[in-house]
Formats: sequence, C-alpha cells, structure tokens
Amino acid sequence: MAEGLRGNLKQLPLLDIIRMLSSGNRSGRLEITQTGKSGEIFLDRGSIIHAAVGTQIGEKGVYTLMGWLEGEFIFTPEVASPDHSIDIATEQLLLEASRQAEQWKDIKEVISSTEAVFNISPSGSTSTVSLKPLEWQVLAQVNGQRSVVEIGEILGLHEFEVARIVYSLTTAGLMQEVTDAKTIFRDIVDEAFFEKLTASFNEVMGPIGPVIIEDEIKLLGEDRNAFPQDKVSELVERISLEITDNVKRAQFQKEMVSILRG
Amino acid sequence: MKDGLREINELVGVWGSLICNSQGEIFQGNTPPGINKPALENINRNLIGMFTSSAESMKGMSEAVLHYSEKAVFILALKQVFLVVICTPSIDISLLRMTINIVISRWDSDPRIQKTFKKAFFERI
Repeated sequence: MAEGLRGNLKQLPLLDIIRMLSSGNRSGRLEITQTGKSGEIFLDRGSIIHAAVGTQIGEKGVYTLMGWLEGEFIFTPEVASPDHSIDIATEQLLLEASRQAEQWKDIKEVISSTEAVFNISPSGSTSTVSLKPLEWQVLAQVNGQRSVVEIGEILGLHEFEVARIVYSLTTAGLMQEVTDAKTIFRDIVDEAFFEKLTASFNEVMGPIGPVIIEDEIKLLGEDRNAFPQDKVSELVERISLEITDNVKRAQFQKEMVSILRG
Repeated sequence: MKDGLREINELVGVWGSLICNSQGEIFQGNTPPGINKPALENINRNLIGMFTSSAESMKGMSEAVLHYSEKAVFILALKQVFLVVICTPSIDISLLRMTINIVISRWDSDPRIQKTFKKAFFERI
C-alpha cells in the first residue's frame, strides 16, 4: 500500500518537512498524528495559512505541533484549507518555531516528554525564589498526577509554554519529575507475545528476523522488556512491511492480527 | 466480498465500510441501517474526487486518511474500485491497515471478486 509523502517525525522533524514544502511552494494539508491525537497545518503555495490541534488554532497550533517530536505525518497536496488563521509571514513563523525548537532541546533534557508528570520537590530551592503569576498558576496545578499536556489544557496554554515554565521551576529546584507515574499504568506487552512474534517472523524471514524486530523496537524508541501495548500493532505492521512477498506478508499479518484482536 | 467488509467492521472503532467506483456509487456496503444511500454516495464522490486529484500529483499514493472532528475516513484505491472505511479518529490505524491488507489479499486471489471489480469499473468508465 504505497503512499505519497508520509513518514515519521523521529526520522524527519516537522520543521524540516515544513521548510521543504514551503521552499517547494507546495499547497495542501499536512496532518500530524500521535497516539490518540492529531493536528493539521495547511499550506498555500508554500505559505502556512492555517493550523489546528485540539483547541490551539493558528500560530499556537503550529508551535504546539513543532513540539511533537514523535508521531507520523502525511502530506496531502491540493487540499484546500477550511480556514485562514495565520497572517504572519511563513519565514517569520518558521524562525520563531526554530527558536522554540532549540529551546525544546534544552527542555527535553529536563522533561522526558510532554506526558511527563511532576510534583513539588520536598527539598525545595536553596535560595529565595520569586514567581511570576503564570509560573505560580502552573505550580498550583502540579500534583504528581497531571502531565505537562494536561496542565496546559487546564490553563489554556500550549505545551511549549507549560514545558518552558516546568523546565525553569525544575531547574530552580522547586519541582521534580515523577518518573514512574505514567509508566506504571502503561500496559506492557508480555514476553510470550514477543516469542510468538519472533517465531512467526522467523518462519518467513529466517535468522535475520530477530535483528529486524530489535531494530524496529529501537526505531519506535522503546525497549522490548517494557514495550507498551498501545504501540504493538504499529510494531507488527512495521515488521510486516519487511516481508516483500505480498502473500507471505498477509499470512504473517493474519496470524499476528488474530493474536492482537484476541 | 461481504465477509471481507464484515471482517473490517469487526475492528473496534470501525463504523462502516464500503466498496464504490470512481463516481462514488456503492456496489457493496456494510454500514449501519438507516443511512441515506444517495447522500452517502454523494459524499463518496467528493471524497474520491479529492483523493484522486491528490493521487495524481503524488505518484504512488494509493491510500489516504482524512480526519474530521468526529470521524475519520480511510480511502484505499484498489485496481478498479475504492475501499472506503469510516471510523473513529482514534482508531488503531496499523491494525486497520493490516486487517484491510489481509482482506484485500484474499480478494486478489478470488477471480469472482476480481471479475466484479472489473465489471464495476468498465460499466462506469
């Protein structure tokens, strides 16, 4: 099932995709999806004219999507935009997005992802701290259960703003990441599944099978010992695309889909 | 063909699936009862039109997923016809694609179904 422009943000960052489309004067719809959520950016002859992700529309939508470091994108050309929410020049927008992307790199060193959860540090800061109103609002929402994204939704801020504040409060010693808050609730794929997957895949691919599986797990940014259930079908699909024979691929998919669907 | 659509519909998040020609005319469908067929065919025609114009400018493109606020539409170009799947936007897209591929692989090896597809194509070309 070949497609047009489609790929993974880990391999091609959003900023590079937009630069490419913009320099090529392309028009159409760029859709970006992450597990359970999606957003879209519309271009008209290389200019970004509209973006929407959840409640974030326009420039905010673009900046929010720029913060998505994982996920898939699909560009569909010649799809007309339903709205016109962006008036500033695309070069200016990309410059700001580029600046934010640089800041994201620093932020990501402190915040593992926008799904990360924080609580107030029991040790606190070693010096006097003064907080701006927005910083106080963010701090007030931190409860060891809400993620950066969720705090943004409550306060009506986009992920980047919240992440930047969380970053500064964390580096000031006021907050700390709760490393296990989400992962303990993540459904993990058990080893028995991987044994079945490997056995079926080896039948088609031979001894190279386990190597391909390990590679694809790494490309998804995961670990076999804690592989999340919600990414398992994506893993199976990616692996199956390595099978060049259509009939054998469908047979492999059939076996695996039957396991996945229980 | 009915079995294949039923198999696709059994996937969690799928609302309905159908096979139509380039004019949007449905010649096999599995959608909830009470659907206005002419209205659905009209929507199909617009979707297929949008899809084919995109496919013309992007060589090799054979599928598309269109996201709307409450539904997503998965369109796949088969040799002579189109498979349209209407689903929830949060559907497990990998599982859907694999399920579709399994069904299509079966259709590909069924001369009776291939004949039906060709008939649908030539009648409307």
